[in-house]
Amino acid sequence: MPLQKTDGLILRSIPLGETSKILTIYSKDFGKVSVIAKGARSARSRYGGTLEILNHISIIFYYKENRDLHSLSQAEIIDSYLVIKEDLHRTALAMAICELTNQLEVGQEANPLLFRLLLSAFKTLDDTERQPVNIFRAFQIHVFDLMGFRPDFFNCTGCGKKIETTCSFDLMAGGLICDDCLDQGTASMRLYMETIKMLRSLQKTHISKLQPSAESSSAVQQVDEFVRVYLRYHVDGIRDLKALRFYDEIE
Amino acid sequence: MQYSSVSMEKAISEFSKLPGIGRKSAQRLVFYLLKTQPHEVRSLAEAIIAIKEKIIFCTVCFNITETEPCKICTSETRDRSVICIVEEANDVLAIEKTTKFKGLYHVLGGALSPLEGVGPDDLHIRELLTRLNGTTTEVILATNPNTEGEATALYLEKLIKPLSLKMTRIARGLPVGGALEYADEITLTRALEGRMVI
Repeated sequence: MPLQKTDGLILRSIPLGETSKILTIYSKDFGKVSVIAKGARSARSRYGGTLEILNHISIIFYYKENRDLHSLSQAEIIDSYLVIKEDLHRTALAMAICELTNQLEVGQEANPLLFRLLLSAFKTLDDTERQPVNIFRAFQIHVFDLMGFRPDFFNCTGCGKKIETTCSFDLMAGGLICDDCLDQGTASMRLYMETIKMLRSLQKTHISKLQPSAESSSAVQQVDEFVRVYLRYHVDGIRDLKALRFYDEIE
Repeated sequence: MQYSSVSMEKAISEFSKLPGIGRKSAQRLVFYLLKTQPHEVRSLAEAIIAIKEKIIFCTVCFNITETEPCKICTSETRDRSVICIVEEANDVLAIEKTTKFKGLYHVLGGALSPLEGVGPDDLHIRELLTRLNGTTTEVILATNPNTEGEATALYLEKLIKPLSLKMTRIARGLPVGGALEYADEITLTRALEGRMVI
């Protein structure tokens, strides 16, 4: 039962017994891991506020091969993202990012790109100058790349022609399809040109460089709908995000 | 496992439904009760039944009570201008133990938890707002100092602010008897933010 050291973001926390809790952490070196933190909920806990959800922490834990639950030995805060936690909207979006990452069911396998994306999204959300809701949209679009189904928002997947007008998106082929190539039986979604431009911009811009968007509300709504439909098409068992519903409730 | 007594099997099965009690512990409890005096067992059974038959939630503050409204809400000696907002009825007990608070309470019935799907409509927030129209001058936000508790406090702050009441948040920071060198950054930050002139 060797001691392992890594760092990770706390995605979820479930109370266990009187004073303990089980944490789901997305870690740099082990992917998604669950650890039990004994006594972490007692007022005199040595962990204090270290094990709160949305914290980026460094951990030392007893790693058990082929087990789902490991045992936490030590933890220290790397970043607690106080700007996020002092703003209800940012908190809800950060939790939506955590909920989505947790649902992707990435097992105990390191994915350094996803880990970096998570930290970039959190760092940007923690900056008061940034518009929070676009960070969540960009996070989802970048997740598509990392999961291996990067959408093509530039050229027709049928004839390769550059798309310059409203057209459909072929969900299975993972790209836009012009009206000439569109087959009636294809699972597709119609997208306005403004929506396509917004999706292009979110895809090619690094999360930390996102600018406030000036798109119409109909384009923004369509982007959200596209992301939801495309994710469900490619990932089995994805459920509606509770944190996002909460965000809409408080909006 | 099959027991020679149906009653014993049933008792073990019922005890093992309680949190933290497995079948082995349930079996130990049942054997203990078997050796206990009948009047003590009866007293335990009556106490358990009373939990469901007599205890209700106060319709004003949502604390647990046997009278409606509860003793705190009807007390002549409590300061009716201050309401302390807590997550659970257990928190009322904890604050009452200090004997330092003489105001009224409002139990939310939990905390906002975006990840668990607990939204504003799942808590007693609407009832709180209807209480704040009368004699209240101060509201104390005493939700837990964790992410969900802070989110709840932020949400309530947004709702209560337009009412122009004095709003305070319980202090967060170092526990009495703790050591500074072992405190984490968040706890110390909160302790420094909440420092007082002496």
